Amino acid sequence: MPLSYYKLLLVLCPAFITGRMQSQNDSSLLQRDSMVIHKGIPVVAEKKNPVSTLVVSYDIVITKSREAGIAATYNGGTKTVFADNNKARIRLVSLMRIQSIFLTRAQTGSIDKVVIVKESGKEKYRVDLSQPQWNLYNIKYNDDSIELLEDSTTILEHTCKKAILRLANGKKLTLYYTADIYNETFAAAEPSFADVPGVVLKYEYAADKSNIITYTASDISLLPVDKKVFSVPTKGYAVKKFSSKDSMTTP
Amino acid sequence: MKTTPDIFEQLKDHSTLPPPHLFDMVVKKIQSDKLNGANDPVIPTLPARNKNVFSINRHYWAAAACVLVILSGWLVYSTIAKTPQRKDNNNFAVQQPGETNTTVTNGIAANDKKKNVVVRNVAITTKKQAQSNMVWMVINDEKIPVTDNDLLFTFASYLPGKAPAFLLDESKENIYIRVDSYSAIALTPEIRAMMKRMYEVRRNHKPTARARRERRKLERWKKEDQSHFDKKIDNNPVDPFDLGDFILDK
Repeated sequence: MPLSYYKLLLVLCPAFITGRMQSQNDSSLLQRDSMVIHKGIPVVAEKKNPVSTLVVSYDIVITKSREAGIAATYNGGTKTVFADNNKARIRLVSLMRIQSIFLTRAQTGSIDKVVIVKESGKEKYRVDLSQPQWNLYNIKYNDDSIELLEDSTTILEHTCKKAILRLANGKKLTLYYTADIYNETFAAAEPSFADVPGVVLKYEYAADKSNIITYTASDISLLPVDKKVFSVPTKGYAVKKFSSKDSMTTP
Repeated sequence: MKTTPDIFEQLKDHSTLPPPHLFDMVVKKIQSDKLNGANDPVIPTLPARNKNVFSINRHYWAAAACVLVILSGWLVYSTIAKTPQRKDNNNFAVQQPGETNTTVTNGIAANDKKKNVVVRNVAITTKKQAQSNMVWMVINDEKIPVTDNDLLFTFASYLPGKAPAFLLDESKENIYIRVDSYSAIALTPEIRAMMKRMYEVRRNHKPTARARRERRKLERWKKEDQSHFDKKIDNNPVDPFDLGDFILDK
């Protein structure tokens, strides 16, 4: 091999190695940076392992700086999100109140039918919502944005990444999600989870530094869910109508 | 003194013995009639009218027995349905989500197991009693009635001395109540302390001033919660922002 070839190799190799290192630095810089996703912009993060059935139970813990007051009756409660194919149910169980939201998704993926059911107390009721009414019900999430961060923690043996959901009014929700599993119905059921590329296992809302409500997953199940879970109760429930004027009325 | 008339004395002399085979003939006749289903020639048949009277009496007895059974059933039911709760309370309800037997492990912390009180499937396994909206939860094999799925007022409505022991537990740990296969709620030391204060009574067994105050506070919370979440549609207790703003602000 002529000497000039060796000279050429000596010149090119350092340049090649340096170039690779530079590109690695660039990508690590990108990883360190957070990613902000606004409504309507598709999530670029990879959605791994989609599952048809998912049930996540969250324990509710409330921290308050002064006397707990009415918060004491919600502290220690449970919120469970059930998702099975195109059906979902979110159920809050606390000493003060038990309430569920039943959702059915159309084949197109959009929310087709929603029923809010108050299951406890003397005056139990249900409210049927159409898709536009459901959108109105969750109007606060219309102009939200989510920031995906690289901070991570482990919850129920799942590595979770941090994300911050910001509403247009400045309120924010801190989320920790795992990208190991994904369920579209689950994400659609909770408007605050809609743009998260995974399953949220912990989230907290802080009204200020010392007043915080935290939801932490205590159990994840991929087992089939009994169909009765998704059947909306009717007997003994008053039917209320949704009114866009910020009130519910009994017909 | 002679009481028999003379004529009988005279007739006695004219008596004749019956033919020797007459008795056998009569016996044979009776037996053959019995075999043929004829009425007993000796015991006369009861008239039809009497038969009816007997039948009606029997029906009366059956009806009376039925009424007695129904009454005793109702008494047993009403005794069972009686709860140890005050009549003037606001009861609540825990129903749903449909029955599931999936092997979902709950999120109860392992170190709390000793303190766990398990309410098995309040919503799921509890069956409504006939003609009643009452459901039952089971705590350590003890059946406790819960009406209207309202756990808070069910606990708050116990008469002094009737409250389950776990509500009076003074430990600083949470006590967990399993509501169904997926939900287990925690009774915090704060809420148990509040319950305990509500059960306080004076020497005359009437609630203390503090007990009445605690009860009024609970009723005020209930009303505030209802007016916030049940009257206004844009307040959603399932939503973290709405629930947080409501309870963290109070």
